[in-house]
Amino acid sequence: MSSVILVGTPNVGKSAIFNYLTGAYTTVSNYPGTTVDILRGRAKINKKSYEVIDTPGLYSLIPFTEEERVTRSLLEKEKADSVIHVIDTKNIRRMLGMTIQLIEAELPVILDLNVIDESKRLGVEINTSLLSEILGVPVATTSAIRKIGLDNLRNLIKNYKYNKPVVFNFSDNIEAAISNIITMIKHSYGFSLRTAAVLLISGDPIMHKRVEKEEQYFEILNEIKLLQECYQTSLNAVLALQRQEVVDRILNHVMTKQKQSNICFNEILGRYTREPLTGIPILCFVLYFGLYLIVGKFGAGFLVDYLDKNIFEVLISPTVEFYTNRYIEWDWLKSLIVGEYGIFSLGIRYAFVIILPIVGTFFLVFAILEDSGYLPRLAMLVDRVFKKFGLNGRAIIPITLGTGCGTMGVMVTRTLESKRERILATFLIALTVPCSAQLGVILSLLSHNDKSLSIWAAYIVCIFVLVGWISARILPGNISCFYMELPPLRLPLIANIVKKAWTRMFWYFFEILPVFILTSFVMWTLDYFGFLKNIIMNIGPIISMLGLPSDTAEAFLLGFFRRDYGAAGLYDLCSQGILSDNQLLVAAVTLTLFVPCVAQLAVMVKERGLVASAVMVLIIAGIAFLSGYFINWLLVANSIIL
Amino acid sequence: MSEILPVVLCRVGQIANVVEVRAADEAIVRKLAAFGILPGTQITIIQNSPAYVIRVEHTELAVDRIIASTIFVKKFQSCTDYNKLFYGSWNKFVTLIKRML
Repeated sequence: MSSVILVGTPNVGKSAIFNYLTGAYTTVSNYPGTTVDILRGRAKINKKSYEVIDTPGLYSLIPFTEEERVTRSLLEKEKADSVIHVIDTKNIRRMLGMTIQLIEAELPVILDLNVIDESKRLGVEINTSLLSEILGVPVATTSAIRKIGLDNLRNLIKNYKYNKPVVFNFSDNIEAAISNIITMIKHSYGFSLRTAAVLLISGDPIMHKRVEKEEQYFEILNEIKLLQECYQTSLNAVLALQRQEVVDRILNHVMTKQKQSNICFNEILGRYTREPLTGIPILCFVLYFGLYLIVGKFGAGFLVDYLDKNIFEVLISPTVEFYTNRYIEWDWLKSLIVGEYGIFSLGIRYAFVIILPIVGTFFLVFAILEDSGYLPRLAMLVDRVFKKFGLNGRAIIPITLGTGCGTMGVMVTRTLESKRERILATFLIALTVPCSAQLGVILSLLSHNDKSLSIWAAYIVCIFVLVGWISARILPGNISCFYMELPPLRLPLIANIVKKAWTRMFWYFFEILPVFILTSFVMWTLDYFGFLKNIIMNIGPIISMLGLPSDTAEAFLLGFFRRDYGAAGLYDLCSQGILSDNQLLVAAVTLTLFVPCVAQLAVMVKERGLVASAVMVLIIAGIAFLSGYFINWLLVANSIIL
Repeated sequence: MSEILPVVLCRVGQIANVVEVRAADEAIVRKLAAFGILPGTQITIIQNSPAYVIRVEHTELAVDRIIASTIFVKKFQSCTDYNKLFYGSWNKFVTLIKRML
């Protein structure tokens, strides 16, 4: 099957084009060896089917982050029939350089000038046929959101024919060095030899590592050194500047600009969201409205209740119980399905009733924030604060995602640049960030008592700050710099949001369902053979040191398998009226901080390695227990009753 | 004759031309080049707290103090009154809100 790859910097509307080309059938898959998501979908153009691949944003061929590295190796390995470079037309001056790089790499490029409506409004006009002639590749103009020009893009994909690329020369001495290096390279390295040589001159570490094995690698290095002596700035900067000059020459021919300084509504709102005086209240509002009201109250409160009381208890549970009792004779199998720890009554029910609505509403809110372009502003506002924890503003994205699902949060730490930051963020997510399922259950447990809720929140924030501050000082290394593009605020498209949230929810659900089923199976086995009582008796004394009834041991044990599962266990205990408000607070704090769920643990091991994860888990268990002990002691010593 | 100074010393609203990026870390130069911050590019400094926000063409780029102090610029003209330009549209915004209500 033919394949089409979409590339471009973030926020140029790649996913809108992807959605248009592929219709409803998309799959999210992890790129081999990494956990970076690659979206693949099927498109049909004139009865011929294509595989369309959406890639994470790429700023240049030399990658900065793991995600960019993935995009680059995808371009190298996947022999695509066409590579669509999607750019934001109003920023063509900044983006055309990469088009030239892609053409140079001998990739089958189609240039797509997207968001054409915005650039027209700003008075930027492009002569596309001339641009296409100069670059030697087809050029389309589209506005994916307004559905303009997309048919033309489809036609270009259908009729694509690869032509020998046009070469845009650098200055003579650089060109001489390039041709010298080309003669010294004996093997091929994915892209064209010219690109390999240019990447070597730019000092791309990936290419250097590969070419190291070449016999004449030393001569190549020498050639680069000689070239460097002609310039005062780094060769990479020289190449970038010369490439920009080429772009400017091209644009002189094809672009006309009318000066218009129309400040529109988006821009005003954009400014208010990034300036501290107005931005911080807006941030609080977004968090309160988005996370607390929609996810906490609506998802975790209303939807969970509704599903549990009106659907499961009335319709589904009785039906399953009825058929199990009717057709299954063995008692052990009955209890395995509908018993106290049954696969259905514990595993499937918890997954559907408690987790699905909470995670679903969270992903919906997150998709809105993502598509509206608000997240980078959030990152910018918190950058200074995060620097105190050895992180930069970029870490807000995995941490916010962590409040949805810790497992996903840990995966997304890949977007952070240094190993140190990835470790710090993983640790903070595992220790202090409650996932949406947990958050929902804890909110509903504590919300009847304002005092406990505020103590819980204050304590978790304190731990976050304290542990973040200390670990940033213990772990060696430097903070990496913060830079981020602030995209214009855009009204998100409902179809895109729903699709995104749906795909993620689907992925998440099938990721956790087996864990839930397995957990209930393990619990059932332990229970059936009487081990559970032993284990609970053994952790009993530790639990009672926290001033909790021994019944909570079960919730803690469940919590080890799935963090939210433990909180859900507390929910059951609470509805039976076993726990006092004091005990509830201690349990909530301990569980929030406690060792993450199995799924998150597995991802931690995969991402950070066994040793680092083991150390983190030990520290986390210690902090969780001590915190519970401390709060209980504080309450008892001052004889406070909440 | 105007002096060369880093972005951290510029006022909000300053339009300037990039002279060079003086960073010991090559990665910073590369990053900024990818965002179009190259010698000769015209930029506007539109915010300096809690992070520096630089407008290049039609893109807004937020950077921290460390990066902002590596970008050296030459003042292009005296400060445009960004605030005036901006709050001129404040009235427009108010009428828009009123109309919506």
